[in-house]
Amino acid sequence: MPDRVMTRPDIGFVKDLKAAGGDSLKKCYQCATCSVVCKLSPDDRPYPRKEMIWAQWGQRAKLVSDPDVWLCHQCNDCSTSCPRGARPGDVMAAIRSFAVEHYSVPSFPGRMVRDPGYVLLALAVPIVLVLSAHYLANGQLLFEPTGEIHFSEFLPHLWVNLFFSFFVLAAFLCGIAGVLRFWQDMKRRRPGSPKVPILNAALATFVELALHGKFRKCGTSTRTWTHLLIFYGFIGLFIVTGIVVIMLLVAPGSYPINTLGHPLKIAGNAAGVLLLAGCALAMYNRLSDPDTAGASSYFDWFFLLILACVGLTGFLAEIARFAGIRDWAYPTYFVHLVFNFALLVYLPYSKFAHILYRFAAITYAKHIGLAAGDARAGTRA
Amino acid sequence: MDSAQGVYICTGCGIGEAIDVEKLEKVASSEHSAKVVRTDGFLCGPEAADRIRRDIESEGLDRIVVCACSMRACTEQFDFGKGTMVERVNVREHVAWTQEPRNEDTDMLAQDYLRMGIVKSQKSEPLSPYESGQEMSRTILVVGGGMTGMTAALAAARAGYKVVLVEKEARLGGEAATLLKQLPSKPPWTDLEDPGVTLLASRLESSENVTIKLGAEILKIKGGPCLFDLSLRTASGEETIRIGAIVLAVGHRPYDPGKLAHLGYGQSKNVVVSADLERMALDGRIVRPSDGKPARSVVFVQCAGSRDAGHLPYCSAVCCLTSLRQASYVRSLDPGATATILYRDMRTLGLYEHYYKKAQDDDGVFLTRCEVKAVTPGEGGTVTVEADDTLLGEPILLEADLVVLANGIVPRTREAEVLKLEYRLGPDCPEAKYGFPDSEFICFPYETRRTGIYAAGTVRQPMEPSAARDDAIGAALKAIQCVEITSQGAAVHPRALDISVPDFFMQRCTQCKRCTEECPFGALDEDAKGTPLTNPTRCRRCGICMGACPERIVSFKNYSVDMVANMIKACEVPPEEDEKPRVLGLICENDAYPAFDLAGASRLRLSPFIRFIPVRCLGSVNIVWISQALDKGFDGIVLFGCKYGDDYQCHFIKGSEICSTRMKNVGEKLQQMALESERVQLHELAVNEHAKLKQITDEFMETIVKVGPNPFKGF
Repeated sequence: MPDRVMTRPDIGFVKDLKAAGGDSLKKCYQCATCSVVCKLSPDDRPYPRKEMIWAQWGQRAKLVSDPDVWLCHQCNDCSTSCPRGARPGDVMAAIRSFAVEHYSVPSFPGRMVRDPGYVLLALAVPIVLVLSAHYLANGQLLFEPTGEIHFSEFLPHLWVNLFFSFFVLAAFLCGIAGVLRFWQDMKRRRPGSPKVPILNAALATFVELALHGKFRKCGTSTRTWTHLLIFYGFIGLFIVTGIVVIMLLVAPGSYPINTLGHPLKIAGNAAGVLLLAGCALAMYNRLSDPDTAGASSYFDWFFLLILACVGLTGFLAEIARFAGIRDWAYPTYFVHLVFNFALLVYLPYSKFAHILYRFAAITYAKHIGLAAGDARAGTRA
Repeated sequence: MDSAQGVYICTGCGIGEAIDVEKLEKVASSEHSAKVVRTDGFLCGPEAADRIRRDIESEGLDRIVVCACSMRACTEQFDFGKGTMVERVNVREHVAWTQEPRNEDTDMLAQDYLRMGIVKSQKSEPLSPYESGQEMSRTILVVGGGMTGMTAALAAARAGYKVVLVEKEARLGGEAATLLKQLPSKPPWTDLEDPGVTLLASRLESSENVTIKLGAEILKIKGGPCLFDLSLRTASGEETIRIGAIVLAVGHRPYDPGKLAHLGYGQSKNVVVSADLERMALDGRIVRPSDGKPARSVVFVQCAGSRDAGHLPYCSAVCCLTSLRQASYVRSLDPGATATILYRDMRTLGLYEHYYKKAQDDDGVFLTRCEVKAVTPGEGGTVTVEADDTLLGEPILLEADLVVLANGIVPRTREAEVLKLEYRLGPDCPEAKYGFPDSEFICFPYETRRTGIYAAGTVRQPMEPSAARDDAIGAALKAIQCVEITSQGAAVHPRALDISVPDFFMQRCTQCKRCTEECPFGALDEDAKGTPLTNPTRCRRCGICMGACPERIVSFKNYSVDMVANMIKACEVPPEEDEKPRVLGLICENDAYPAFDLAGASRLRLSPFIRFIPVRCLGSVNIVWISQALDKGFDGIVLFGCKYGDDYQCHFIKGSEICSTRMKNVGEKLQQMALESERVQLHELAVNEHAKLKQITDEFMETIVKVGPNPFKGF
């Protein structure tokens, strides 16, 4: 008998995936309708059919390292066409969330963010961090603002920026560590001879993601637009904030904080509107048509709500500041900081991590020539 | 012959437009001097029927020839009661609808059909139902006290029939009594149930109509439907009971696991079969037989023996469901245990798909299609299962505490004589494909090849419990149909209510035994010398004995060798120089004839040179008709019968097959006579193959033209 690895069905992992939104996974009877209706799935070793049986058998190691689960853009055609109601789209989403936790460095935050039991702790962490920044900067917790509203009175810009930058950088490095583990696993379990240099593959992935090419091919236009709004809203805000941070660090006072007409302010507000509109649309889609949108797990809502709250509290704080409502402005700003913190610090652990893992998986797929979706692009319009 | 014949010609449905009816009238009145000849534009209408009835009264007609549509149409309209024999001549489908209108050949064809009809009518004798002169029993015997047998017994008893239920074991329940749970029997088809033996048994025991014989051994059964004499031995002695009809519900035996060494049986104690697991589940503990430790990973291997040319070539139909059911035992007795089912195709028939869904939707039930390559003893009492071609995309290796082989099922009739029939052709029902005592299963489930004996449940074919329940009721109804119709002296099926019976002119019998050997239903026994002994209640009236008999001593009053010979003679065969060939078509009434009617309904244009004579079954074709047709000057003979072979469609099992053998001999005979063997051809035709009918007849006519006229024409 050849040296084969013993296959061990794992009930525990099955339960995990079911709890993470893939509760229908056991219903699959491997008819392959899902792989046939999928517009992205390749002809060779197509997904999500194989992922479904791996999930049924609790094949954890196979699934977490599977680049294919990240090639899926979750249009849920598979779920709506499934004759057994096994909802492969939801199962793929559950696998992704599990993979994020599996690769998280360190491991505890990964668990904390996915488990609704830790919701209070997950909120407390950024609150404590913001409060401690405030305490360190002001020497006291008590804060009684007077006069004109200057958010820097609550937390000086330098503090905000350094404090934030430190944690964001740390989180980003943790995220990179996780993705590297994922990359190693992909290389080991889905080996392939390099077809495209990694850098070229990464560049191609970058362009693809920027244009949402696969997304467009995959889903309905509503979903593509929703994601585009959030995607570019966030990137816009990230860039504007970055410029402002640098301006404030390099030459404090060079940025006129109170001028609504400044090009950066206009750009920032515009990006905020995009983000907020995208979040609103995403929430509307999830609530109004759960069949097509897919099951919404805690993992989904956790990320989406934080993102939406970042946008919402940002605008509220800005409005309160310009309207001069001091009693509202500072608390809103505080909440805004908390959500910002949560968004960025949890990047490697929340659904936000998909930007890292999806990027890595698509790059890897291009690198070894899995060519997901491309293979059929010519034959299937 | 002292008969008064009336010939009635219909001109409706396009007959009048296509055929010269005046000439037809002349055939009836001048050639055959029928007492009454009338033509009507709407012969199946009430006025025409009244007219015929008045003629019967006033002219004393006892034979009516209806020259109109197919014998399959308007049967009620042309039924004039018992005293009047009706012969149907089909000039609608077979002439008007398939021939060129107003054509000399068309008229000749219609006239020949009328001549044949008139001759046949003249040769027919009045029928009377068979009377045995003995007590005709209506008691239903059910053999087998499992769920199928009990269900059949209860169904018959509730319908008001006396039932004798015979069970070999000392208790009722059969296999169901050995089960922890049974598959669902009702919507939503997801929940396992109590096997229900006790409830059904108590219902039977409280039924006045049911006599239960436990621990009983059948010594012999002789006789025929309504006249069966069952000899039985029980603890209280031997007895003989008269029985009307029999439901055979003896079920199945699991396939012998001793033959499954290639799947690890016998190599490890921890490789068991389904029944072993059931026993453990009944005890409440699923353990490894080797050391009694809990079996926490159980692997089920499906198709253990089934769908395997070296073992059972068929699908046993129940094993997939059995393993799904047993997987739920594994899971409910120990929530940490896993049940893995390795199948080739998951087959959960009918509504049991719902149960499959339910059973599959369990975290600890793992399923994959695969080919099991090896089952070998592993370390520490485990068993290693190796499988290729799995859904997981790669070969797998599983370590199991317990491997359960889902061994298939074998009809119990294969292991031992069950019914012990005192029949010339053997003690049990003949086996169809795969060894199940079934009949022509597409059209006639339950009917075995022994009239009055109806198989139900897994002895008939592999099936799941709900199908077996339906089967039981179906077979009970067939048994009731049998006792009712047989006690009226008529045939049960497929010629239901036919009261004709074959007469044997024994003085001329040469004891050649062809009839007793060829009867597919074992209707004929033999005395010591080989003289056939008839059992009319077993007879299905196919006439295969009539076709077999070289002495032509077998005839029905309305269907005989002589009658068809005279019909052949009645046709007009034009001389060779007219260039009008003549072909005799012998066509099976069951499938080929309706196909011909369909050809008519589809207005297919058929050759005008073929004269078709319907026969009860091709098996009833006596080769003397072939030689008579050739003597008469027919240029060829074409026969249409049902498909034969393993997937036969012959209503009398092997009539068309027997005929094809006879025709091969005819072919040799033809060559000896320096005639081309192509002149006689037999074709298989299914009921829906009317287009093929046209193709075959056209090709046959081309062949006849090619080989030229029959050299005996005109002699």
